[in-house]
Amino acid sequence: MYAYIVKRLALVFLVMSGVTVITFGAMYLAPGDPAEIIATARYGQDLTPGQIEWVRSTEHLDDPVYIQYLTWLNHIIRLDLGRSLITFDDVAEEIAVRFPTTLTLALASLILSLCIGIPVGIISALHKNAFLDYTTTSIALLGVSMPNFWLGLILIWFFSLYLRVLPSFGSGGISHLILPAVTLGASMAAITMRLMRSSMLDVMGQEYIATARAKGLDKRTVLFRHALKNALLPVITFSGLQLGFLLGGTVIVETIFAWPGIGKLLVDSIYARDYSMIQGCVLLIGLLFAITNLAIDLLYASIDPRIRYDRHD
Amino acid sequence: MALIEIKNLNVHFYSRNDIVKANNGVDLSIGENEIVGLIGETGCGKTILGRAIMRLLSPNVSLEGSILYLGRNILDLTQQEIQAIRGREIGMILQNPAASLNPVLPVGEQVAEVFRCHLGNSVAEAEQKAKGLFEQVGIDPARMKEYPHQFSGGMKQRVMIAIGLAATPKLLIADEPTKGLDKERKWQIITLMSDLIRKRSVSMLLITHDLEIAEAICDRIAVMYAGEIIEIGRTADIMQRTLHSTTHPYANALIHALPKYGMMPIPGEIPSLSSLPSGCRFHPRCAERREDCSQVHPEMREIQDNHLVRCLYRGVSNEHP
Repeated sequence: MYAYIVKRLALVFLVMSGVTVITFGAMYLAPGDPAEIIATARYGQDLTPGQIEWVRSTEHLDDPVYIQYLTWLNHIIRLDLGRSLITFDDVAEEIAVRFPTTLTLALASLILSLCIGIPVGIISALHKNAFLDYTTTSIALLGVSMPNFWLGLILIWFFSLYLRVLPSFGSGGISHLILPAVTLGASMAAITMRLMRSSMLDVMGQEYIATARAKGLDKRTVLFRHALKNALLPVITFSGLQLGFLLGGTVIVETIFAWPGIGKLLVDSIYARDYSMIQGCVLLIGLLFAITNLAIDLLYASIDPRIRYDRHD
Repeated sequence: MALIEIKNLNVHFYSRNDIVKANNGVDLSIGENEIVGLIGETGCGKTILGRAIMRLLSPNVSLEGSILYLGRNILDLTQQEIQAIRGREIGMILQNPAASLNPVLPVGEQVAEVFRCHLGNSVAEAEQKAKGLFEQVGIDPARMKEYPHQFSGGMKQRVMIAIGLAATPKLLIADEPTKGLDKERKWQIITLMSDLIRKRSVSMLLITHDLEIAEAICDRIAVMYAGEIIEIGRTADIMQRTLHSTTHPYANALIHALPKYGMMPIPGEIPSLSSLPSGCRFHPRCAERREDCSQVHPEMREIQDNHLVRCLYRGVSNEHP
């Protein structure tokens, strides 16, 4: 297990190196001269060549590319992400303010989807092709088919405008969290449920379940001790990937509910061509993806012994 | 009283398009301290019969007839009653140990839980007992914390034997316990199993297609073909080597298909359980068939003491007119 963790950590390091190179490189792949872009952002459209040159030298844009990269990396490692080109706010600080909001929404919708998807999926599998199964499957289909923006608007209309029980935008207490979390969680819950159902059916048909039953174990023990752990593996993979996406911010839902998260920050920055802010966001999203995947791999290994031992560790 | 008495058992599976008649009119009894072999080719319904005794069949099954365990009909038991019998009164070793052990639980735990479930042992007691059992089946108890994928095929089978015998049941149903093992391992496992069950006075239903093994340890042998028992009797009566003996032509053909008795293949194919041939089920492949074999379905007849054969002509005085 120890060797496995080390190997995974090395992989995270590798991925992050790639992410930094690409993020840094993106600045150069963008059309136009970086010095001009930064100067335009600061001083407006009417630039004098002197202003551009001044930016170039103060921002060290005339250094060789690899020196620039290493300098930039040196700052990044010390969590200095620079300043916004537009507002001159500290990028790291801005992200630090926005990220907890995104994290709250991501975790809330993930937990919601797991709390609904897993038990309903199990129930559905146990009542395969019966009324209960068809009902839950139909609801799941509905859940998957509803686009986020549509469901979000419908929820706002019903709960905020019609019933007037929940706020329609902004973040704050639990009441602000409910509508966006439900909007995001609904389709995820539906997919989790379908995945849990098929995985459970697959596992229940395995020979080791027959062995467990042949031992005389009661249904509950067969289900929870012998089937569930095996059946959860695909659900964990899916949920991990989903969490990675959610942590990167969900642009549509954050926009609909005016939820001040990373997704909204990123989109606003892209519109404003705020390159340093974009870099900061992309770096964070890359890092979150790598960490979530690491967490999933470790969780996987803790459940499935074949992964823990099989690599000649 | 016999330990298990199966009477006129029909096991049929209903699907959208057809009915799979896996067991038809099966009569079989197993006495105390008796080893009964159930032999036949793959797909003849042997495994289904073993699972029917444990009521471990898919929900689309229809079970008719009776399976009496010490006089109680297993088919009439409630869920709780059958759970009390499974593992405790009747143990089972499923075929293919590679797939029959849970990949995410330590092997020791998979044995120990039988003690906890049926004998009310505490976690520590159950572990202690499992340890003893591991020694008896020839596995180093230090390996109890390991997982199935760390075990070889033969070792996995030993774990399955430990699971099957943990609560010292009265009957052990062993489904192809030697499948996939090399010759040496095969005999090790068979010797181990027969030693353990004799020591504990456990009866066994040995489901196998390996006639040599059946001959070596079984008291009686039942031969199954296309969902029917076509012959049953003492091992010596079944395993006669001469052609045109008193054994069923199918059993005879099975014996002569063995490498040491000539390795003569049986012509034709195994019939599908969803479209069984008319008359005698074996007639399309039978070298000795006569005209009415394709029309008349033979009943079991006792041709010698305790030796029953399902054939129109075996043991009839005008056998070779």
